[in-house]
Amino acid sequence: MMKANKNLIQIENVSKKYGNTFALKNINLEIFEGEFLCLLGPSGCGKSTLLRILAGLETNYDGKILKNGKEIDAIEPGKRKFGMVFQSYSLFPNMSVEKNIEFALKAFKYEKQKINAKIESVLELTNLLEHRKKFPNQLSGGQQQRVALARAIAPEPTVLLLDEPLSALDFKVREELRQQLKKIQRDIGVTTIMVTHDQEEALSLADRVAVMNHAELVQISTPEEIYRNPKSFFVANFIGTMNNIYNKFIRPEDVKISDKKGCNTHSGIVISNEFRGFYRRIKLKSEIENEKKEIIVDIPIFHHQDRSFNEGESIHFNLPQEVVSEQIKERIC
Amino acid sequence: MLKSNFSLQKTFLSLMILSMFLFLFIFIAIPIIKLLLTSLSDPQGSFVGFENFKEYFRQGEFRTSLVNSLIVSFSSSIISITLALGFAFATTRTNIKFKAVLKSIAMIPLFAPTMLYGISLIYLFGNQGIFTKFFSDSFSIYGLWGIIIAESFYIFPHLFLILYVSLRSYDSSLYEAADMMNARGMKKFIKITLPSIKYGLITAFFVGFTLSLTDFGAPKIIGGRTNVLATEVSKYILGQQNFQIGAVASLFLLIPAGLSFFIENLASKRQKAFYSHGSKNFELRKNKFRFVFFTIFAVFISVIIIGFLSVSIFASVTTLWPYNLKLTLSNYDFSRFNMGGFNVWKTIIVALVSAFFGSIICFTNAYLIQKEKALLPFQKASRLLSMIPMALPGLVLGISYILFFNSPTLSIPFTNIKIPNALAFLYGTPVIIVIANIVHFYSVPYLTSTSALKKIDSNFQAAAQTMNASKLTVFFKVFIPISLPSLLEIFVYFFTNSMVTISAVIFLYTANFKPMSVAIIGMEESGNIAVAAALSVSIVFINIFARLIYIGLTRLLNIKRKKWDKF
Ligand SMILES: Nc1ncnc2c1ncn2[C@@H]1O[C@H](COP(=O)(O)OP(=O)(O)O)[C@@H](O)[C@H]1O
Ligand SMILES: [Mg+2]
Repeated sequence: MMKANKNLIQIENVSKKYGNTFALKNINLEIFEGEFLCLLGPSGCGKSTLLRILAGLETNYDGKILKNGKEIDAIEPGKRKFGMVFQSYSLFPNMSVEKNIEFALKAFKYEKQKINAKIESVLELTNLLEHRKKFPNQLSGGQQQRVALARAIAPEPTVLLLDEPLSALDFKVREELRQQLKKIQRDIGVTTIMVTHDQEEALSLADRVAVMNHAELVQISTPEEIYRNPKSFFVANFIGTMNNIYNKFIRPEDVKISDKKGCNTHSGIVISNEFRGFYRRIKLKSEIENEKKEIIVDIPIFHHQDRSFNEGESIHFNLPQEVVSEQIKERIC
Repeated sequence: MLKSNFSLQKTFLSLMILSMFLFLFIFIAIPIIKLLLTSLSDPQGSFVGFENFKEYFRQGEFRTSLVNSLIVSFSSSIISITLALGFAFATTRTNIKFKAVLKSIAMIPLFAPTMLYGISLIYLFGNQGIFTKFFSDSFSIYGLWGIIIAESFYIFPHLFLILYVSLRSYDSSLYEAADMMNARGMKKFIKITLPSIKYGLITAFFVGFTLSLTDFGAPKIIGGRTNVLATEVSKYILGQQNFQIGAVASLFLLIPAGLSFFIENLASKRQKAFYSHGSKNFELRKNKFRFVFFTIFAVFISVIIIGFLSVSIFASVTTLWPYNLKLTLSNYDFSRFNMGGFNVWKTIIVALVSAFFGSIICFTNAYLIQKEKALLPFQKASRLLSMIPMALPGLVLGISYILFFNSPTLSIPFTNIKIPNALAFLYGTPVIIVIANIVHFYSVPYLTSTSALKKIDSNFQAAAQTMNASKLTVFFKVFIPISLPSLLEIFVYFFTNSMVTISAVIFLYTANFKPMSVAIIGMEESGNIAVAAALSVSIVFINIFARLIYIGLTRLLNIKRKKWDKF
């Protein structure tokens, strides 16, 4: 978890252009010691570029990167001692699991006696002891990603940078690895910055989420805060589905189906009904205060089990208390 | 603010990119420029416009050679394409046996200098040929017939490879649809197979055309009094020492070669698009007629190729073909002859050195062009320069090299400035032959390296950098080990070609060092045809030996790599 809020990395006014288009535009971001920060945003918004700048792999940019208050822009990647994991794993195929890890330790000039013990301990941490002699292509995608992680954390980096580490994996493996990743990060307490375009991944792993769009940072908060109080419709919609009613963002699960008419009750016609496992998503065509709207409603599967919500059916729904039009307020509920 | 991340590593990388570019620029671009300038100058170096061209056209021989060259290139391409197509069809689309053996036999001509086909033809149909008496007196193998047959042999493996690749993958659904419409075999071949390999056929035609147009060895041996462009060019340079007209004449080899390279490139791009949406192969069905027909055909071609080689082998170990067939190895005792600077071992060493440095330069350059981003303009220039040798006939390269390395000063075009030629000291040394070999055969290994490197994750260097490892470490510990099979392949390619080539080295050999291929020409000219045959056969066996070592090493390597290599 987040320790004392000691500021470790500071990104100041960082901008990067490719040709005439911005890959990053005026990014300001603080990273605290020991935290797990997720950079979340759609593909092409500049997340990897920011991560590569932090790693020292990109050198032509505007702005500054500070570590413990000191500029590190001119410091080479290796001397920064930031561990990095790429989406493609980037394991050396001609080296066994332990040789891959040894490669990193040797490059960081670990003493010979310590290397073996270190390999042992990271393999244990990542649950790979039995695979140490195997080569990357003899391992599954999930195992390969764990080797990449082991190789990155073995030299005890000050910051761990992860670029979409789970994106190439199947859903099942991804869920499993997510738990492991979180556990490992907590065990060793390394400050971690992970790039992802998967909002569920970001919300479930991160201490804080930094949402990016079109080369800009649009919101930084805890996952709960991002989910509950998105500052823009982009964030709201990217984090999950949202209804925009009277310029307020209403989550589909906050719209309630009701049987009787109240004063904040509206009616609509079902246009689609999708079964989604533990809930049911219904789209309604509705008219709220003379404005045509499409409303999305999520109904837990054990609610309203007696009803079918067929297409064309007319139903009633309640909006949350805070979403009340001036006209309704006057009616005094 | 621009971060200038100055480091030793970056400086080193930039220096490497720069030196690779300079290598290509000095040894490819400058000699060609020198050739062009020479064609527009008089012997004193003053600009004379197209005077040399006019002079060249005035000579009647030009037209005859041009027509002869066109007849030869066209006929041998058509003959060889037809046979190569049949052979490629037999080894891809039929159930004939021993396909691997047949494919190896089709490759044999690659191991031989082109002079060998001329020599075998002389033994079969020449003045004392064993079959000569069956032909009328007016028939002579010395001339167009001889050249066409020899070139057809020479280009056969090249065309076979192209057509083999085109035929290997196909879309079975087309054939299944045709089957349902009850189409016959020949109809399916014309309506489905031929259109699907049309770009392969076009490429094969132009490759064959260029190779036979620019070959010097076969017409030199079997051409008799019939001149083609390639022999005429060499006559101007070696015989008359008329470099200006020689330069003009060599442009007539360069232009068609360049043009066909362009068309080939276009065709291969189209071909790729043709197969982009997954082609599936299906099990070949039993077809008795097809089996019998193509077995006979493939055996026939194989027998001809082996037979053709055997004629030279056999003639080289007889006392006096065809009168005294007593076996002897005296023709292989090369020391009996005064061949001025000729030495088998030196030839092998020069080929090995060319292969060694050629492989290193090709692979390193392909790596720098593809995997690094330090000096982009130079990397792009190097990429362009790397493809030029593909369109550069050996004769043209050789002539450019004499013109360039032989001039003590270089004048910069459109100025009066003359600078001393710092590289003139290379003239007359084997180094220039090594460089000529590397440049002459540069493009194919470059492409091989590039495609091997393309399969390697582009994040390796970035990952290693974050691990504090130097790029050099990653290059030697990751990129080289992964690419070792390709490097071996490149090495034998350079070696084999350096052994058989005649076209560039005929202009560059020296009194101290004469490669085997040049010695073949000398022996044939002085009437020692059996020794010429022995030399040619030696080259073939040295190449087969090298090939066997290559196959052995590749097997060993594959055993070691089995654990981690995907392929
Ligand atoms: N080397 C490059 N050259 C040109 N444009 C690039 C390069 N790398 C990234 N870009 C562009 O910068 C933008 C951000 O890229 P990236 O950081 O990779 O996005 P993300 O990781 O969020 O998907 C994209 O529009 C991409 O096309
Ligand atoms: Mg990315």
